Amino acid sequence: MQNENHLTTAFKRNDQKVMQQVYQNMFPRFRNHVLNNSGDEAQAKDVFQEAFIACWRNIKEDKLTFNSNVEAYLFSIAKNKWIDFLRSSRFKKTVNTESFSHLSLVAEESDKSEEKESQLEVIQKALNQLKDNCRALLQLFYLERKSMDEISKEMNLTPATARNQKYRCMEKLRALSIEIKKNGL
Amino acid sequence: MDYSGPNYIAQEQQEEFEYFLLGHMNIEEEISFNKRLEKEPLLKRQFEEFKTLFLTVEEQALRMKLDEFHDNFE
Repeated sequence: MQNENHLTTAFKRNDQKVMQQVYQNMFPRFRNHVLNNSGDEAQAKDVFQEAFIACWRNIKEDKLTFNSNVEAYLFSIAKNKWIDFLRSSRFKKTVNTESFSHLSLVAEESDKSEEKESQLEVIQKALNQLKDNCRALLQLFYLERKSMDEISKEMNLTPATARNQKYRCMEKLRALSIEIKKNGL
Repeated sequence: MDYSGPNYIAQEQQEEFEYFLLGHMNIEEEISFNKRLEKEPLLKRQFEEFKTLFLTVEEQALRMKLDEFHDNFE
């Protein structure tokens, strides 16, 4: 087990290697849990990925108490999300959820307001309308945290062009978001 | 999102916001940036707007990445 402080720092930095390692350590365990609790592989994947995003976000917002175990935290969020899924109406149609009431609930940090949710949807839709090269550039810079020099080499652009494109892409994303918000989703 | 106005911020302003959000500022820079946010309501609105865009882009990019993590070990 790696030093926990190292793991939270790595998540905050979006360290791809560490996040991939945590994903690959924990997914098989969660998949077993889901398969043993009336779920299938695809449901396990969807719920686990939502949990991973929530875990990552909470770490960034310092909601994880000092010295907590990141993998245990991720697993508890995923288990909670699985309970939510089992209780959702879609699932209730086919299975009696009473039998799952013994699964313990762990409080999860989730304070997304509805307004925040719809804002997210608007920007997600705008992102989908961006050109591929914009999305690629923004992914390298904001998620993978590569320098503009690295990005310009990777994308075969001059540094000045890459810098300018990043600016234009965000300007475009904002304009599209405003448009989508005005016209409704 | 509470849009800060009809026009998008200048390139240098975007880059300063990015520099902050990516955690590249040293402690002195961070303190002075936060002071400016307190004193300048327009800057504050522009920053909040940019931050929302930034965080959403980052999160969506991670969603794509998770699919790669998944495919890589199957």
